[in-house]
Amino acid sequence: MNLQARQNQNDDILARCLVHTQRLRENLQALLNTTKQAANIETDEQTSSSAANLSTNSSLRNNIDRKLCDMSVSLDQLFSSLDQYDFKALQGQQLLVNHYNELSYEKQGTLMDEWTSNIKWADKLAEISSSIHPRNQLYRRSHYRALNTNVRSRIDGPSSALIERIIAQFESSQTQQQQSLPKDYSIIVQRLSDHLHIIEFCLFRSGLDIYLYVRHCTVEHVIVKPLNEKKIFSNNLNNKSTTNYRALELIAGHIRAAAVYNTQLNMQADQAFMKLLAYILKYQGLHNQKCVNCQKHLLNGLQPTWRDFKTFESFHEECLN
Amino acid sequence: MVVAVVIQLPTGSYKSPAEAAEFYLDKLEKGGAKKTRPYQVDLTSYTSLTQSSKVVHVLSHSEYPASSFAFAEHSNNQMLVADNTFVALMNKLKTLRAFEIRLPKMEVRGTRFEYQDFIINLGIVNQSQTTKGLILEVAYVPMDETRDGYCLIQEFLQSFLNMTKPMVQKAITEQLSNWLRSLKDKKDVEYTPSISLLQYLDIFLNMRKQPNE
Repeated sequence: MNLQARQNQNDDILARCLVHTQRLRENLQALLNTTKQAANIETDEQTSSSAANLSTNSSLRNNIDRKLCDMSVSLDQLFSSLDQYDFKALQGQQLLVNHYNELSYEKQGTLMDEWTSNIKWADKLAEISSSIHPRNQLYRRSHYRALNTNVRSRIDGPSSALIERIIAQFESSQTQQQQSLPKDYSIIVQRLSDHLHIIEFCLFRSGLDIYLYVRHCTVEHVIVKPLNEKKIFSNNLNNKSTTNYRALELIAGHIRAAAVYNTQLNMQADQAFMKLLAYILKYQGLHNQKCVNCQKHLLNGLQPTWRDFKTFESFHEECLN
Repeated sequence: MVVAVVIQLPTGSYKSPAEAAEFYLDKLEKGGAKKTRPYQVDLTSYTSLTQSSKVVHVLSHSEYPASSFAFAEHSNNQMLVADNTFVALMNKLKTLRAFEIRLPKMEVRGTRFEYQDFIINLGIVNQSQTTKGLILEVAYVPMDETRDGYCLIQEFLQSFLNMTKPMVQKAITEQLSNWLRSLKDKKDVEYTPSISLLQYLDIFLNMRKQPNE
């Protein structure tokens, strides 16, 4: 059977499932009403006992039994429809499934939770899970196409392993450069999914905590906070939780600009990301580096927050013009 | 989490500390600092009735409204940071005749300014309705490393208030300069609010010895 036919069959099954679910719902509602009636009659029986009440009572009981029977039939039909559902046809729907995956994490996993809470569905998913998560694929959320298809300036698809490799490479290169000096930074990766990561880059000397919200090796959001400020990020980085400090807000903006600058240079995504980490590390000297232009530390109450993208020299924003 | 430097501002070239305060307030506002709210610091000294050499100084600061800071003389510069009900406890001890207030109370009343990531508190020091001088507290908020914070604040004072480096170094309290000296060979230590209050105490005790302005 071709893919289209399988999809059509799946659609039919879904439509039947909806009908069964609706029937279940109606039966449940009727059952609720009947039990309420029965409860009312029972209270009446306590005050007076009459033949009419007794006959109503028995008809209600028959009604309840009938509804329960209908409900069990509907449930059986629903389960058999689910058994017939062709999950393997979803393998041809990788684009849709990946999109769904991403959406499910954006809605804080509630959709995925609802879907997988039913054990039968989870079993079905487990059978095809390996084909739902391929190692590398070009999934595009937008219609953007790279002009030079040989150079992939954007990595899509699962990127956990890639990010870990980039960070390990960065740390080993820094260790070689610094040699015997103690390590004055730390990088912690919090994996939200195969595509989404929060990278916490701590600079001990300058007392900064830089959070990068990374999707497929693309930096989507940056927050810079002082090292000891309480971290209130749960599973999701709230885009609105920016820093309270002017200097750190400027630094976050510059890091975002550096991320965009590196990606536009037509280099590989991993190289661009590595360059960004090196750029961030230059903020170690935030509190003791002077502006190259005016040779001052503070200008209008702010340190030199700008770092040149190529030379990493420090400048005040006002001194750039 | 803040690093603060507290200094006594010179008022000799002005008619009164009030006039000097006006001058500095004007300078801060013209420089772009925004007035936020009033600020105050209080010092009450309790002398032990059993051992008259034992004095406990209790300070409170409007930046830390939930805390009281107590310092006992001859206690190796250890500052006790307690709940703000500590003052009530001391008053209770006073009624129980364990402590009494012999020395006049000192207080700073002034204004709090914000400029970029700096907080500037400027206030007039009074002792029993007598003006004693002018105090300035400058704090850099996003940091708690003492050495780096002190250098930043020093530069801020030089650029914003036109104070020269020797003037700033002369104006900082003995407490802070001892603290900075002790950090020379060590890794920088986290700054705590009790260091600010120790600086205030240093200035208050010196002002007590000075004649009235």
